[in-house]
Amino acid sequence: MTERRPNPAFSDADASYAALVAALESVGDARAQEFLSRLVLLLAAEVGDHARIEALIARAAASVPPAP
Amino acid sequence: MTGFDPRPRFPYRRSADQDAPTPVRRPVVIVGGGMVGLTLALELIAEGITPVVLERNDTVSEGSRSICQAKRSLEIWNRFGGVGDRIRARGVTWNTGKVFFRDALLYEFNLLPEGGHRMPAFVNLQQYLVEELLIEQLRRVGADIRWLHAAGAMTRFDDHVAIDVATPEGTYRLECDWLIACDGAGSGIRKQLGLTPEGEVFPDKFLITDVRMRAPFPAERRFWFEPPFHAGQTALLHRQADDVWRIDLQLGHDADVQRERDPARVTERVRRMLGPDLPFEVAWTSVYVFQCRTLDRYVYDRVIFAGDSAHQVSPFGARGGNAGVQDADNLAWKLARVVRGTAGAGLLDSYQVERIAGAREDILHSTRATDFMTPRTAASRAMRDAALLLARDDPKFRGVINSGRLSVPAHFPDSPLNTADPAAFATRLAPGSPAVDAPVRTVDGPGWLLEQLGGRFVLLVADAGRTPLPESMTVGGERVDVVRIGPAGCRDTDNLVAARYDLAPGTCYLFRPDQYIAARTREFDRAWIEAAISNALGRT
Ligand SMILES: Cc1cc2nc3c(=O)[nH]c(=O)nc-3n(C[C@H](O)[C@H](O)[C@H](O)COP(=O)(O)OP(=O)(O)OC[C@H]3O[C@@H](n4cnc5c(N)ncnc54)[C@H](O)[C@@H]3O)c2cc1C
Repeated sequence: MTERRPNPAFSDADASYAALVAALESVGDARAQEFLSRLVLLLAAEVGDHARIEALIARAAASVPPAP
Repeated sequence: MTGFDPRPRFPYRRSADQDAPTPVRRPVVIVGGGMVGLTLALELIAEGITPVVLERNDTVSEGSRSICQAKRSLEIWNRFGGVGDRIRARGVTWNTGKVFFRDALLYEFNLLPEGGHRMPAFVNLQQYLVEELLIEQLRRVGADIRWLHAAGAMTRFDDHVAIDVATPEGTYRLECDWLIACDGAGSGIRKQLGLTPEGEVFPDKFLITDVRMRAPFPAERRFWFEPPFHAGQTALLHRQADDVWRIDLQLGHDADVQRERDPARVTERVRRMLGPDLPFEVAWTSVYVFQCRTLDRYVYDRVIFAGDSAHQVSPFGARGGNAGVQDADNLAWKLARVVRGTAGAGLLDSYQVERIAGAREDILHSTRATDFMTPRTAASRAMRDAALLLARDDPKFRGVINSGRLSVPAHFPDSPLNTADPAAFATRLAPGSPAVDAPVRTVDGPGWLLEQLGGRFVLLVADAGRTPLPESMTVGGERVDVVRIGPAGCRDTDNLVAARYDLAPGTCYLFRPDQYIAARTREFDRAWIEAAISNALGRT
């Protein structure tokens, strides 16, 4: 079972962020989309709950205006 | 178009209505003798109303179009002279689907994992053969199908509709109390009312072709993402009757429709798919752009829409024709009671409430499947490809992969015809669910639960043999037959009726004429049941 606590800490945020950046820089811009797609799906599967996933998508989209 | 057996031709006949000095008034006119109009005609005749069916052609569907006939459609058709059984006998039964990614099998699914159902999940039979079997049955019951009678200008009045009908011998006018538009996706009746269904058009073009071949593949649905023989696109292979196979090939956004129809090009594409050694003959080809859309009402006073005239979906999920058959089944008993004057004001409205809910569910699933196959941007394609790669290595991600969620009957938990449960039930079924089948034994021998239901209201009672019950009840002119489950009636030989419906001694289920559950209770209480019947007739 995946943990269902609303925020399972994110306590080592610095390290998590650094790992993300390191991975992005190592795959390079040309393959970043491929990498990010896969990562997003893995993270979505970890979150599991559809309502939470939808809320997170909405939060991310809120700061990105739709393409004209 | 080549290669198919010739279609039957049905001769034009002059109707006595063409010689009447003033327009003849009919209770029901159905415009369009496709799958839906024909099914509706069978239903209405069983209700004692012979509709006039106007059909502008003199034959069945030209292309094969619909091939996957769902369990629910087979169950519905079987109520009319066993047409469901005849379709099954003529067609190819299948329950298994396989999804491939590049050159490997991704996963496989079984659409009917449990036994104890008379009908399989799907029978593949091409639309023109289904229609032939429906027409054969309609002839047996004396239907009035008018071939080469094309509906033209329509005029709506408060208490009737007038329609001009064009024939090879000129035009005549017909009047009807109710006009049912089953005239397909390009509905002329819909255009006359100035209505446009709302929804989505997908950018991709699809080559749909039927080939005839003696192939060694099993009768399963095979779907490919990015197969080696059709780079970057999707493909589908599915068996039909008479050694005909359906092939769908996605062509992308920019495909040139004219060029893609070229028989040499089609043959080349198919040969790449099937390999160099398998002889085949291309029998039918068409290039489609798909849409998912519905009208937001189906009832416009005395004009009612059913089937593709009301809603359209992309074919991945086999939901178009199967939805139309459910429309016909939902509408017929309601319309018949309105014609006979025993329905309440809400009954016809419940047709559109229920079937629009069904259409929206079909549209949701068909849209998601088509979106999955046809990503619109580079980023959404990257996400799709990531999902496929993940699914290959981790079964958890298979749920994301969508090659079509195949047609299942609609549930109407919010239908106004439902009565709320007065007690707890431990089953997936609820008021607004279609009946599920189970084996039973009657005085006539082994049979099926669904054969005991349909065509009239039925109160199914699980009795221990002692409960005093009437044989039937009459509520406001509506006859309700009582069917007992138990030693004194229909035997639940495999205990599957009890399991699927969570029966205990005394449990009652009220089924509508379309075999949907209207209400249920734990004990026979006449007043409660009468109220539930009134409600199911739209009287409250
Ligand atoms: C490639 C493809 C694959 C499909 N696969 C499936 C599948 O596997 N399963 C499934 O369930 N569905 C499938 N469908 C959808 C299915 O074919 C339709 O949903 C179905 O045909 C709808 O039936 P209908 O009777 O509403 O309309 P139609 O079949 O289009 O019939 C309409 C009829 O009305 C007649 N008509 C039109 N105008 C007039 C007029 N003015 N006067 C008199 N007559 C008129 C026409 O001649 C025609 O006979 C598929 C569709 C396509 C294109």
